[in-house]
Amino acid sequence: MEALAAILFAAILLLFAAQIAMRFIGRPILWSDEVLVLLMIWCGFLTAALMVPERDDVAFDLVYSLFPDGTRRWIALAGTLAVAGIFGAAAPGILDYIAFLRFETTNILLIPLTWAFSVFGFFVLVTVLRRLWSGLRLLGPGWRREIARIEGRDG
Amino acid sequence: MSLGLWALVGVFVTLAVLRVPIALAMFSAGMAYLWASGQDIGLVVDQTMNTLQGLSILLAVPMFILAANVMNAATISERLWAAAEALVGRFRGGLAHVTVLVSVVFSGMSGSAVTDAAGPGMLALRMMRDVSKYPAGFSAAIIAASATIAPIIPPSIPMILYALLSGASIGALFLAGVVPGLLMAGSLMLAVVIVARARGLPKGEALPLPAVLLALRRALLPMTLPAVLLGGLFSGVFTPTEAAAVAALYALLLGFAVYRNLGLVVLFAVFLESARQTAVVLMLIASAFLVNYAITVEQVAQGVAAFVASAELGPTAFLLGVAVLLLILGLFLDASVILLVFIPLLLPAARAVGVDLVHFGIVALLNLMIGLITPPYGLLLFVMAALGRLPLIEIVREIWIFVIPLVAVVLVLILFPAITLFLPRLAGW
Repeated sequence: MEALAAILFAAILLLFAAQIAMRFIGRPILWSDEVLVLLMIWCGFLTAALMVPERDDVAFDLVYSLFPDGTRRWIALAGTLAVAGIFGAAAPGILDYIAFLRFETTNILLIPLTWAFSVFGFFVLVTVLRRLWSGLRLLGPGWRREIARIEGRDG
Repeated sequence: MSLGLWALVGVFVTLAVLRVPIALAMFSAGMAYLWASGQDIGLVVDQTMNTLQGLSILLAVPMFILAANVMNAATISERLWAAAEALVGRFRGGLAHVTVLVSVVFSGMSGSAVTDAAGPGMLALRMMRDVSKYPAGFSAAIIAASATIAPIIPPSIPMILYALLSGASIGALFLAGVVPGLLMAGSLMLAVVIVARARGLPKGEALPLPAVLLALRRALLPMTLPAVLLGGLFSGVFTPTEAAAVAALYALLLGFAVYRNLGLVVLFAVFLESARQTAVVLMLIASAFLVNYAITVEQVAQGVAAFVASAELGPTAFLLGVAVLLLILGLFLDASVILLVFIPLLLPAARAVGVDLVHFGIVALLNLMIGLITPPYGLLLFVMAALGRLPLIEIVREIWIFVIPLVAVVLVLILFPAITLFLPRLAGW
């Protein structure tokens, strides 16, 4: 998984270098901008779905940090389940819409948008699962460890 | 306010208070808005993915992130530090001056304040606190304050986002940031002079001339990068997006071929970390597109513009009001949220009042950067406390002395627009 993120990222850099070099010698690559943006979108959403730990996310914790661990457990639980609920309720409509885009394509390489945007559907589904999983851990006996993980105190 | 708008604000505020990551809170708020206003939920895909897909300028973000991470991995900060110390280390509190100077040069390669604090900043903390026994809180405070220069001197990730939102030219913004960034550095060094005398901070030793020249020569290659980037932008040889890729490739070339201190294992870690940081920024942008869609449909910004118009402010009074508003918001909110959600609300008003959008952008960004170091919510304070393993309160106690000069720079920039605008005008924007 981590290798995939690193490879996608390296691919962006290499294609960028090729783009600049080819333009310099007067034979620009016409499709590079489109592929670069798609690579970035895929790299970004895959990484965000699977490889960004909670402590790296920007969060507003001024209110949350006023409370002791016992209360934080319920605050975190409410937040995580609310996101799971909203994303879960939106998921069918989002997946429908992505499937509906199968006859539309990108401008140059004519890639069906269903394929190009499927990573967003994946991101939504994984977010629901990750939030539910975090909720379960907050409900269970290991809730202190889960709170430490969310806050990035677990070293 | 319509039902949809209530849903948007209500869900966002509730989730943010529950410590849900801001990007997820903005996505959720956007979804709630679509339901409450009876629109198709598929618009989530349309507004995020279709918009992202059309913005190839965003590619500059991963490249600038990569460039800064490679610079850090290739220990380029150490070379910059030695060169700056040879120049200004001999003065009282010299290492604090060195910190500011290194930040200025590093700013010319990196576009993110957090990267600056985490890279050269950690080196500076080691040198000041651990080696030279400067007070820990003071050391961390001057590092955090200097790191705010990074997104003002180009390249700059926040400037790219601002350009996307406002339609202002990125090239013009980049050039406009140079002089204000140098003013920030000057004002911070002035504050260091005063504090160093008051607290009797140690002086460094003056190096003989050959040693100074050697230190400068060893830092010559990394120091040429800001010049190359600025020259390329100024002359139009490459676009800002390409400048980002050039910076990343140049850093890799230095690390691999010239200094030979980058290996494949380190490179893998650098790519992965850059992918993570890119993902965090990209999620914030994508979710902000959704929120901004709602705000556009509901014509909130037009309301703000009408309100400002009814107050009959001139450009200067308007900018002063914006500065106060942003400084207050910056006490409690993250800079990315203010930039992506609040700035778009102010843009139509800025246009109506007749403020140059490049000038507005630089003033607004500088205010946001000050927000990064003002408690209770100051991202750079948190970064310094976490990475430097010292209590937040020690940094907070020392930071105000550096907030004052930065606010003074904001005032100067508002009162004299030419300071910001003469460089881009010289280049023909």
